[in-house]
Amino acid sequence: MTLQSILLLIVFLAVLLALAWPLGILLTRVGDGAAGASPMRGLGWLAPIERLIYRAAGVNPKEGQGWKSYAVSLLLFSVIGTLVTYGLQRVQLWLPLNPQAMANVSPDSAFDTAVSFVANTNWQGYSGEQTMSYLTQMLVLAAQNFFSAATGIAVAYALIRGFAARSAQSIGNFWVDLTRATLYVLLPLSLLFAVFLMGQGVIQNFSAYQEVQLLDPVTYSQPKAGADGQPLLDAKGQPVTETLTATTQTIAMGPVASQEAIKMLGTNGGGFFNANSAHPYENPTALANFVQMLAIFLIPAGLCFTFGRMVGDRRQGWAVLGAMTLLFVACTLVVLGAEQAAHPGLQALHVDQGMSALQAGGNMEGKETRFGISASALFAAVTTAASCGAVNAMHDSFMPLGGMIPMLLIQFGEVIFGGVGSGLYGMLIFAIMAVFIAGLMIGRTPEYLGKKIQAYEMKMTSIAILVTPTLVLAGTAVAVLCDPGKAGIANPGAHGFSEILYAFSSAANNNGSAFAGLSANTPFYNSMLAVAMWFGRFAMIVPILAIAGSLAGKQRLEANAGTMPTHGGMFIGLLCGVVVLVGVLNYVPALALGPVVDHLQLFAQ
Amino acid sequence: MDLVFIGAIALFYLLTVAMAAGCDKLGGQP
Repeated sequence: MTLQSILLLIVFLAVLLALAWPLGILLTRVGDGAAGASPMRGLGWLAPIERLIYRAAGVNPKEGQGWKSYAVSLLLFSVIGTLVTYGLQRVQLWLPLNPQAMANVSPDSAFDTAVSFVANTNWQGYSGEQTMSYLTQMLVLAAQNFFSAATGIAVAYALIRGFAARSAQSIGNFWVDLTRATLYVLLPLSLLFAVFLMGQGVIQNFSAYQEVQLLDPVTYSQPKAGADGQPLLDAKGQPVTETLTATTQTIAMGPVASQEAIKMLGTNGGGFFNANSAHPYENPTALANFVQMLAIFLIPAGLCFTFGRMVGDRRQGWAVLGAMTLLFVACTLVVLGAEQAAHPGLQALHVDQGMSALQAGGNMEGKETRFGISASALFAAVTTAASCGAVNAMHDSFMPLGGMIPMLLIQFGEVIFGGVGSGLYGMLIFAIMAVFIAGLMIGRTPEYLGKKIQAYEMKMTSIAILVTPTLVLAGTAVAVLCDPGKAGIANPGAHGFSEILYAFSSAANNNGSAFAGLSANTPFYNSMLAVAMWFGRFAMIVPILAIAGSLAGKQRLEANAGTMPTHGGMFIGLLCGVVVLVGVLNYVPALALGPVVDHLQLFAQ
Repeated sequence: MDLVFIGAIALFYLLTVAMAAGCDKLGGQP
């Protein structure tokens, strides 16, 4: 860990706080405001468009929905989005904006990708620049980036209304929440961010790929294949290689900036290019990298302030934000330290791994020299604490402990800032668990924000918390037990296990990043991970909406001398403890088999 | 194969709707 990395973390958090506060006000006005009314000056021209959308869709924006109606609307919208996303991938060859004549995506890959983007996961088994037409990238993938993020914000609004309401039947209207979050928050922010990114060098065009001359021809050798496509072997059974010289390079083009903006702001994470934010056309400069990290945390942090405002006690929002920040800083410091440390394998070869004016030092495998250790390690912590999953460095190449922390941040349930909307509603579920445990300790019926937490809320909370660990651990167990699962592993032993555990953790918690050595674009992984992504998203949303509906129908009790305060340091500590305890109890045995063994083997050499 | 995957997507939807119905049956307020 260096002074530079500490300063970067401090500046990052300070700028985030300064930007999230006003955004929290906008998000409050969007969630609390009347349908068809602009939340702020300058966006008034969008109000007629909002009203037109309601009329065209046949939605009565004044009609509130109970939790079941809200949930069915959300699920219906999501399943239609999944079918459209699947269908367009399957016919893209015959549609316009396909200058590279990309073939139709295979059924299993299209299925995995459709579920992935609708579930706000953006796990990508495919390579974007080799698979998707520009139309597919824009019309379904980027569109789902907006809709899945807006869906998360809608659920957060619904749960907050559950706390804020008094004996109400309604938790809002899903169609109104979806429309207003998209129109007034995601679209304006994405437009501003996309223009900024273009200024930094992110491309935005519909050109065919460019074939350019290399300044220096590159000579390389590769295994020679026979007529059957299999590698040829010599008399000793060794692969026959051939030496080739490349004088040109194909440079992929496309409408990148428009997708890059919502990829970050919506905590989606699916890259236009396979290398994601390590690609110079997605993330060209150190400044672009810094702003991309801010964009990931911006709405999750802003929603904490929205929560405080909507429940009428801003201290509650600060408490949730405080717990998130505390956990984030602790985890980030571990990643920064692990990645700045020297690799023992290179140390044995007397390779200079110290930081100097000429090099970042530390473990630079899989990292971009324009970002170095600090900005790569911080990006990894940010993208996994939030459910974004965009990467500017290859997590599979991190040191064992440096890679374990991003995996653990995902396994905590994506509640440390977390996804857009999903981070807040996930953390509030842990807050309910925290007041329940506190209630058990002092022998009082637990209350949170004046609402009694009773048996029904705890049943739903238990389901919401246990859905993702069940999917992760069961999926990993199936994968390591069967041949198609083991076939995808790049590294044998503990690290190979980590690759599979990371994949299912990432899918079920809707992150989307990977230990990318795993070859996951196979029917087995496409199907298994799709199950994890869908149910990791929607089997958690359903019980949370049930909690919102149940809480909305209750009286809101006034605090008295016996009420546990939920805005102070003690509650923040309790909340952090519950998040860590649940995560550790669920995952420590699996982590011990993967990154912990990996670490011990590496440093025992 | 398309029908298999379209059927799987429809099944996902039905299972989560069934889950909502199950959550409702567990009790709670309307």
